[in-house]
Amino acid sequence: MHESFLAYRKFLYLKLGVGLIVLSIGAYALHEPPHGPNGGTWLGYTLGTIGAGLILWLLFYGIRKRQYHSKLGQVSGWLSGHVYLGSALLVVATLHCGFKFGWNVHTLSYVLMIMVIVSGAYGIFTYVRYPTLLTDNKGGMAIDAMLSEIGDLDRQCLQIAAEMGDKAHQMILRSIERTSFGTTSWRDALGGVSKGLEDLGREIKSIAGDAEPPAPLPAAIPQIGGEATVFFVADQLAGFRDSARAALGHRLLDLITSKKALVIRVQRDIVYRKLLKSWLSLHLPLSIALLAALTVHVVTVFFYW
Amino acid sequence: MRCLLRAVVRRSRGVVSHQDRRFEGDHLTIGRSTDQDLYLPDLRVALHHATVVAAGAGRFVIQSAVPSGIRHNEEPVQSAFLAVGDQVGIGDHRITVRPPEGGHDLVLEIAQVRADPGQEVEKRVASASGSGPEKGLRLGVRGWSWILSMTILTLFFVVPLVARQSGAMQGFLRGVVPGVSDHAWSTGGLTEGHRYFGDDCNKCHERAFVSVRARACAECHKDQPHHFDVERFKVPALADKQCAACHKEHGGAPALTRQDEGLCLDCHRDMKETAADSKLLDIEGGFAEDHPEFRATFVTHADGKDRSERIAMDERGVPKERSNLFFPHKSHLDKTGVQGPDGKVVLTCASCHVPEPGGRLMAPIRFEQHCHRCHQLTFEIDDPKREVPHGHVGRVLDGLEAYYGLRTLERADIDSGEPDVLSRRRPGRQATPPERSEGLESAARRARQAGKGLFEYRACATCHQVDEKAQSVFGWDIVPVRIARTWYPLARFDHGRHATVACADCHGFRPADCAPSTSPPFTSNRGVADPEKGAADCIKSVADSETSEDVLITGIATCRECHGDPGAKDRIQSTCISCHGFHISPRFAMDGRARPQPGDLAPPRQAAAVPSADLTDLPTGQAPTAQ
Repeated sequence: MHESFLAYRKFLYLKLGVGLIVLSIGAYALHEPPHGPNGGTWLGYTLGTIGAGLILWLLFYGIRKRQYHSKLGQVSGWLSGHVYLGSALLVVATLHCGFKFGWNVHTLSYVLMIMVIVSGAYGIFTYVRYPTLLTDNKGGMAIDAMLSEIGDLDRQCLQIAAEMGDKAHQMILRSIERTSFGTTSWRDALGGVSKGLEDLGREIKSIAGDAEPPAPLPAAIPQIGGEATVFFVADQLAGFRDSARAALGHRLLDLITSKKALVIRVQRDIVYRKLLKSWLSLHLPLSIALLAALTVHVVTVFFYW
Repeated sequence: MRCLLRAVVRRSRGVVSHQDRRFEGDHLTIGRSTDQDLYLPDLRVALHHATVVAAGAGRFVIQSAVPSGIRHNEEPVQSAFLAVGDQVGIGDHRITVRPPEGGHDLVLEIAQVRADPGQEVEKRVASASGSGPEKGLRLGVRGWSWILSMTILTLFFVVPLVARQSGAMQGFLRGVVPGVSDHAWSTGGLTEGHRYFGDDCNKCHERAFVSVRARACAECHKDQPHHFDVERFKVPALADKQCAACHKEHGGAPALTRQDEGLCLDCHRDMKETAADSKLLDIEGGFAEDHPEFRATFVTHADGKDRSERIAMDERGVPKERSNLFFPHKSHLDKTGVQGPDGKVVLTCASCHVPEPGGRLMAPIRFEQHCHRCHQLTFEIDDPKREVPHGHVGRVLDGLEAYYGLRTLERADIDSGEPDVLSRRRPGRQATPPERSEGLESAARRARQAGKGLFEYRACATCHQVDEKAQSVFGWDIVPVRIARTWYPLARFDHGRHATVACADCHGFRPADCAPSTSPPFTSNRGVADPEKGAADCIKSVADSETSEDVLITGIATCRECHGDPGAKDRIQSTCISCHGFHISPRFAMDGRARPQPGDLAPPRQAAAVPSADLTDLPTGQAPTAQ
């Protein structure tokens, strides 16, 4: 049976992490250094050494997970340790500094460490949440299949639209050109499904405009489906007396509706995949920056001892 | 416009051939309709999709005729200027602008590139989800990692390190951009006293990777006193200690000194272990429980010898202090008042005991200031304003002789009973030598008589112990007054900080027949026995003290009424350092050298000294200075 990395070996690393936290807090509570808790007491040095060791070990996870032939245990075990011991680091490092902060390179290291841990925590959240959403969204269908079906639908739409006349054809062309799968960082942040109000406003204007052909837009609007096209086709249908042309219109509407559903799924797929990855693009550079700041921290502490 | 339209035709096995067609006209139409100048047979092209027109000066514009527009260099646009190398996408056709040739203004190469709309969709999805080729100059994870880490290393390590090589550069960085100087390495604020030079890290951090040396501290703290007499005692724990071992900087806290009890108890818990021949007592723990009873330092007089001793205040019948002064507090603090020159005056403690400037200790009592108003040093009944000077036996007698000599010459002493030798001479005649010497002898007799009265019966003898058998030329001597300036010279007591406490709360005395209380915390200073609280303590009020030999100070129990251990909730949290100093040796500095001694200006009074056998080599009667 599949075991989540969080539950690796009956939460072995969770227990280790909690143990480390309890030990640190206990030692901190009992320790009464003459000048108040700080990084320079024996406990400060001890916790600092543990913290630095942990940071190096946590960084080594990035190397370990790329070594497919490593004999240093399962990657899922490493990830489990990475998560729990990384969380424990928050307590160890905070007690190491004895809650003494300032505008200096030492607190910079601390802040970077907090950012790394927070981005990592968000990473755990995405790993727990998005894979399920991804699978549900695809509903057993491969993305490749969806894309080639979208291509097919586009082709069928164009054929029907060409039969319906140039105006309809232009409308469908516009719709196809504007079927955009791009996501912006802004959309990532909002989950990728919200639609800018500005876009909506433009869309409404384009639909309401009587000018023919519809007012050209300055750039492609990333849209889900193609409401404008649907409205246009519906409008056309209302004017059709010719039953053959009306049948064409219905068929076109059906095609566009199916396409819209597919595009929404592809769009969601992209958004989920991006969210699954995006935290890493914070987590990794910050980790490396932390390594640099930690090095400066350790060296300068002893430089001006 | 003269235009060359070159269609690229792909034949089997990758062979490519061109079909050229010439076009001349005002504008070039592009579309799926057969009436278009450039015919593109693709469903994704509108019947009339776009038009190319000359824009003058050899430039051309392509204008879309449909809302879906065209792709100009992969950007969806409605119109665009055409330049050599530009690519225009319409449907699955790509039109490339080639350099003009053969007299044509515009050469367009037309190729069909996309056969399947599905493929195009896939391409778009790939680029949107980031797995496609990088767009523009976007930095990847690796790039950001490098930039961030290198920035941190450079700004906070390399730059400050390089700046160390040049004083000017270091000064500039520290002054203008302290964030990228070695100031960024500082772990916290400095204590107040060190801030004025704190900008220069190297004042203390002289060498890299070497902790701050005592030498750097000694630049200013040159003669910082040692803890004890380094010639008598060897304490390995304190040998070669760096200042930084105890004094931590950059804590941001106001106190640079250690306040914890461990500072003292680590050694003082077992003094036999620390310094075998020390007479200091072991201190087991905190002030509230484990501090031994205070030992007052004063001069005792046993076996006919004056001796400076430290006597525990809980001992039955605290010995009398040998002050050589007669001063009954009882008669002076009479509630009905004492008789003064201007009538009755009620005296209080503050009538005589006023704080020194700074407020820590009480100023010494001075005869002229505090006693003289009532205790006048007159000696001649018919000259009641005439007084002898205070403080010097020789000067008193000289003054008396001079006074009576003058009186004899002035023939004022008619009624003295002495023969008036000088009155026998004729007016205008000088006194003969026998007459003069007779007159002087008479004056000396008078002076001696007055002196005897002063020293043995009246003024001096009222307050002072007078040595009548003194070997001095004067025949009398005043035994030096020995009043303890402070009874607890090893502790630091600040009267100013105890201003809200009544004098009587701490000052009282234990009569000789008083048994010490078995439960010190319940001591009552006012002699009020509290039957509820065990054995009564019989400490009496200063106002009941009939002799100046009473040691008018109480012991540790009084302090414990307000002071407790660190962590105490109902007491002032006090540690060793609250009362005791570390740097207290008057003779030796921390580096073991002898300290310069202050010039021995005559001290205002002699006072009891801490017996030297008790480890310390404290100066006479002086309280240890605060660090």
